[in-house]
Amino acid sequence: MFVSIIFLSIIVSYAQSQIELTLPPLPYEYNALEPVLSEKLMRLHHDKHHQAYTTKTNAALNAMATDETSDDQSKELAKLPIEVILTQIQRIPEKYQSTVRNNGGGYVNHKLFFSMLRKPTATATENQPTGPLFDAIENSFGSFDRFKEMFTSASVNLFGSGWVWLYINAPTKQLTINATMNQDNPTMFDKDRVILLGIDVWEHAYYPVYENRRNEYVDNFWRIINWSFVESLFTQGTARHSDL
Amino acid sequence: MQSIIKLAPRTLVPVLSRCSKHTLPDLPYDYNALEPIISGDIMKLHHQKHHATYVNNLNVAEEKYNEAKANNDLTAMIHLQPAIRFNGGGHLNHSIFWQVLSPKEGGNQPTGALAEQIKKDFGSFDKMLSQLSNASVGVQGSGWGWLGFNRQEQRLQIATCANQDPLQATT
Repeated sequence: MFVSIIFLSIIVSYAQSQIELTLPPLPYEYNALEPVLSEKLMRLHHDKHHQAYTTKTNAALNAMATDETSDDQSKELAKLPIEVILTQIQRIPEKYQSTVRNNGGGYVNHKLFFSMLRKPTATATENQPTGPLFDAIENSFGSFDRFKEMFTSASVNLFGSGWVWLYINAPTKQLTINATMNQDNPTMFDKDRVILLGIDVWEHAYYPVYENRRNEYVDNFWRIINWSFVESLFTQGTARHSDL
Repeated sequence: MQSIIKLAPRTLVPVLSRCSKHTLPDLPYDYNALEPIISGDIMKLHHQKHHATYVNNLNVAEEKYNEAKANNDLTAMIHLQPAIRFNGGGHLNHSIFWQVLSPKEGGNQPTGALAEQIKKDFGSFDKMLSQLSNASVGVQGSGWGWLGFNRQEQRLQIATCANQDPLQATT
């Protein structure tokens, strides 16, 4: 009895020291984004791709945290929130760097991305932000339509796999459109950047519905942006003055 | 007479680039020849949409590049290089790829000099396959896994390339 209690507490404490990122559920039903993104696509994208990023990030971080050949700093780094680790990629031991960057990036990017989506509006033009974010976009890009053109063009022209982002620089309040490759995101390169909007242009994000027609996917993407969520990110971003 | 001579060089350039336009090679087999491993639908998409787009975009980029070169516009030339790399690489890679695939069924192994070289450089055909598989599965984002011949070192080598970077040009 006593022995089994000790045994159990050892297991429990081991389990607690395991790094365990969890796959967040979609904030809506799998079919909520039909017909722009099908239920089948959403199941694949969330249950397979996002799940794989989650699993592989956990494996890499746990290996990093328990690696006897690493120094204590590296082991401690593995226990920080993944968003923080990703702003310090250079400090990750080389053998884990690309795995953590790709899978941790994938984990974080998709977590954000799925929250930025909503049930499609009938048309793209009727779906727009309001208030301070709308004004900020018009000020930065000349007009909301011009912003859409630039974002669309970057999305359609990206070679290979990557993302296109709209981010705000928290101290300077400057808005920027930025394309990154693979699972990189703007915050990895400067922790003062707050992501507002992103589009996944990996083929896995659109192929089951649009096949090779990425431009059609991007045109329809404007119908499914959850601008209230994006506005909340903007409010948080503008309120922040210092870095993480 | 003079105006004809002046016009000639400018009109020759587009004619020349039209002569050397890249074309989409036909598949050496039917679209459904690789079923069930690769479906006829996928082969059609891959060949008629993706590869065709690389060919079209390559021709457009090359034509613009020739024009920029004719105008000594170095900035424009450099600006076009990524498009030539991506679409040119895509065209090269896929042209090789269709040739490399075959409808012949299982127990499919090379013979002769290639088989010998594989044994020499990898120990066995299975070891080479397993390395190529692992490398290919491990590619992050878009790219290719290759078995190639390293001419400098005179041996076979497995390599991966990102996006449409062609093996010979970029390694």
